[in-house]
Amino acid sequence: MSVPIKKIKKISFEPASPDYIRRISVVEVTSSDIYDEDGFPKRKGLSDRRLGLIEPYGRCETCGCPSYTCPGHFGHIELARPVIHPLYAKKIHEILSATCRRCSRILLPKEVLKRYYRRMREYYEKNGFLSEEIAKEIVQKAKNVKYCPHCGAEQYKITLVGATSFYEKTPYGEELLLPAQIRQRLTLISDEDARLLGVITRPEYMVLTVLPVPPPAVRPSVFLESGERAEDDLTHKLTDIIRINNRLRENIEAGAPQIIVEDLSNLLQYHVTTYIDNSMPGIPPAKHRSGRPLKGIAQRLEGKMGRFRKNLVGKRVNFSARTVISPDPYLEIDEVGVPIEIAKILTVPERVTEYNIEKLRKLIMNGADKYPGVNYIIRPDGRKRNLRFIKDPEKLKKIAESIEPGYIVERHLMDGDIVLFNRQPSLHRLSMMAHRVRVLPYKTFRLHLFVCPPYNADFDGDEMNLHVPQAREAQAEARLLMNVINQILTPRYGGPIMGALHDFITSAYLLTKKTTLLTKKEVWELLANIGYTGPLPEPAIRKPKELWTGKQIFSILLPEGLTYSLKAKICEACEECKKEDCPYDAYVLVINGKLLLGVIDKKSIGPEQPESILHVIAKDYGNEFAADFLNKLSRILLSFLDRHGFSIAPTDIDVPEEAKRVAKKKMDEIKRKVQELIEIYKRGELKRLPGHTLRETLEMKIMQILAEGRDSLGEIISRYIKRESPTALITRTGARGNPLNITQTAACLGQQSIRGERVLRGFKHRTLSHFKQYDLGPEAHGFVFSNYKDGLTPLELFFHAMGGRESLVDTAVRTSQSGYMYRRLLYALEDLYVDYDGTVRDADRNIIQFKYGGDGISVAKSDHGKAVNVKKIVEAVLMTEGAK
Amino acid sequence: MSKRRKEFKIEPASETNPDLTKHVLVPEHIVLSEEEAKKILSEYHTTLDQLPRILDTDPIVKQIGAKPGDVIKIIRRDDIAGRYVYFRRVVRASEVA
Repeated sequence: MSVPIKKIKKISFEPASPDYIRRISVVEVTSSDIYDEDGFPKRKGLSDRRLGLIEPYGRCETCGCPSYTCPGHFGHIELARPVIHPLYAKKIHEILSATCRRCSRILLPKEVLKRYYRRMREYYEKNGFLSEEIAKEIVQKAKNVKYCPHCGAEQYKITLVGATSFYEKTPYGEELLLPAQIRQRLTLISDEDARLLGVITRPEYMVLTVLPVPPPAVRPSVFLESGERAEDDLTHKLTDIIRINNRLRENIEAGAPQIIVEDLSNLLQYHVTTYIDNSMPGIPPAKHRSGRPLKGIAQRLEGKMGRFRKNLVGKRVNFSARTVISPDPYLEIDEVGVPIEIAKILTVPERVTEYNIEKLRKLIMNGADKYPGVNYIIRPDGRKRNLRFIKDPEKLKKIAESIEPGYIVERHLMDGDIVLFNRQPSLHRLSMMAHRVRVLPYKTFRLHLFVCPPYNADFDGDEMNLHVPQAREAQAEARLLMNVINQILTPRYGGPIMGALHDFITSAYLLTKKTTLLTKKEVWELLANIGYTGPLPEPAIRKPKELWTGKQIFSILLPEGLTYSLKAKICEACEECKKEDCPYDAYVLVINGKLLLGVIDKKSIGPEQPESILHVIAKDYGNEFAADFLNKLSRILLSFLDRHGFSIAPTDIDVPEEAKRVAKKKMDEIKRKVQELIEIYKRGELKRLPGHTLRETLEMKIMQILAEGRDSLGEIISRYIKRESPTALITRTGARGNPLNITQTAACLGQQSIRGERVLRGFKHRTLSHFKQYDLGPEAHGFVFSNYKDGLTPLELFFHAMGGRESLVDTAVRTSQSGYMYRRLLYALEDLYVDYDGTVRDADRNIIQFKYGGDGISVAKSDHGKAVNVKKIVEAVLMTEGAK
Repeated sequence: MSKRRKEFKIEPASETNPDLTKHVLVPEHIVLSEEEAKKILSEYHTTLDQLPRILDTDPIVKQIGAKPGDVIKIIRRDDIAGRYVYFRRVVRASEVA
């Protein structure tokens, strides 16, 4: 089955013929006055009622429609003298240069033209339009011909001066070509020759004899408060044209001296030129009385604020808001905090029924300024009433009384309303999710930290947009399909994309580590945060005091029956895993909803962590449960960390003198190793690696030694840093930072690279004048032995700045390039869909894949790309059995 | 376009013209008979012109001797999807822009 399709064969833009302009015209505009003495639009003036009207009253004299349905009608001006169309001046110049001044044929021999004609026709038949390349080629060849190959007439060079003046260099001196003469020459060109020059209509149409007058709808006049009329720039320009045109005609008819006629013709040309384009080079722009340049037709279209980029390609919406975002961990993950000022502007239409009428009446009585209020009321007949200007409580009361079922009330945004929340760039479907509104004081949007990963948001000044769906249908779709809760698992690989970050992970670790024991009071203080009223588990320690472990508290959040195990982030990847006997408590074991072993860190509850506890909860117990889990988790962890306290300090990574001595020794060893290598190289004993020069080989080997050296330095230093120190802890648990950060801060920064190599440029045979020429040592090429804590030497700092600058430039370039690549990819794939039979098809139903992804698995619903994770299921079953 | 089209011959495998079907990276290509092709089309509720294309100048097409208009069945194997059957119709290279 195929869908019947109407195909647009082609669209072409060509200059209109004078005849066509007259045909579409409803009136010849001859009066430069717009209104008569009584202030009525003058007939044959620029606001002639036959051109259509823009006032809300009256009817158009041409079509009989009122202004809101009348599309407007074109008029025309008969120009007393032809005028060059300024945008075609270049084309006219090309054509004049390529054609004979006497017989108007192209200045190429017949045979050549024949060949070109065939080529052009073939091109036209294939593509449906004329080839600009062929036309250019012909002009190039013809413009320097001295004698016409057809009639033998001598040719003179034609120059284009300014925007629209043509001069011909004759032996008697430079002669001005009048537009009328030019038009005459163009008229004589045959249709065939015109096509060869890339003109499909007639070349003489590029010289205007009739000017179309756009309807007033295109150039509306505005009424000022003082009652005055202000006309559009185009109207001003058209009055200029008509005035000069009339004067020119009178002078010609009166037989005025040629100089006057010429002057007026030039003036007419100037007005027409600036009417079409008021920014032509060489032409002083026409100015308004105030000195502001007028807007020509070209100015309306071009540029960022032009018709295309602003109105046609650009899109704007109502019922939207934008402001800075900030965090609020006391919100639920699917909520968004909306400033009260914004809530008073954004509205939701609510239809009055007998069930909500009392509530809505109360809102109306608040008016538009008091918060839960109403901005508009729409009566069943469609009349809208604005409450913003009604302040009198008595009046409001009256209005409130007057509503009845069937009215629509546009009330302020209120708690629980559904809104779409978005952060650019919107690369994801998760970049725009539906949140529940919480109206809050202050001026930022508030969101829960756990939803930062899908938006890729942070709070260093990020702004986000908010949209209010108006129709019930849109609200329902947002609630069901775009809901944050239903986006916990990313469609990219089926794992959770939301989850605990930063301090929440630190807190989870501190709560669930073995040494954490809580008194009954502490336990209840934590559980009060989630309103837990259920029974407490048996205390882990009974005497001398009842104490509970953090793991027991965490278990309260876990669903009953959950059985799972994983390796925590803090796992040291020992050669042989001791599992249950892990010395670091990194083996996480949950049996029947009880966390028995292991600490909770990034691997269990972090975002973008597949096969985590959070993942299993979301998959096996549903998104709703997972969202509830995250909400409760965030409150408990926050409260726990508040009580526990957590600070990091530079002293966390202080190392004893002994460590520094060891590190120094290691550094000397590295330097020695590199020196040895350089010696080997200088003796000529270095073996060249395949595919590399000797020098490259040396560089590679040096880089390798230095990289290993830095790592071993980091390793040495980290041995002296306490594992439980807060700084070490945040990297180990995955809350923030990585081991390299610590190495660079405490031990050694390492090699600064430019284009993946050591720093090689600078002075002749050396990087800086502080080194000797041909020094190949590490210090001379940007290896930084210092660390951030002790500080860099001046030379090291310089190298560091070089590397830093490069990475800055790289990220700027990379983001724009990959952004554009992604955009193109998206446009290529946007209309593909998975059909009911499992095939992937495009909009024309062409088959792209015979089975989605080759295996028909919906990745969004998969377990990390697989339909089922058999291994994990077997493990869980075995563990459950073992526990029994 | 009035250019005469070259007829492609099935050349025996040789040093300069290796047997592509033996290459590890080339999946199995089978030319379908007309009935088979028809069956496939009705199975997928589609028409010949909606199948993915393959040029008649493609080396494997030349080797298995498929003609424009033929449907080729390709049996691919990979680690993620396992066995995956694909169909492509042979088109004249000169007719594809």
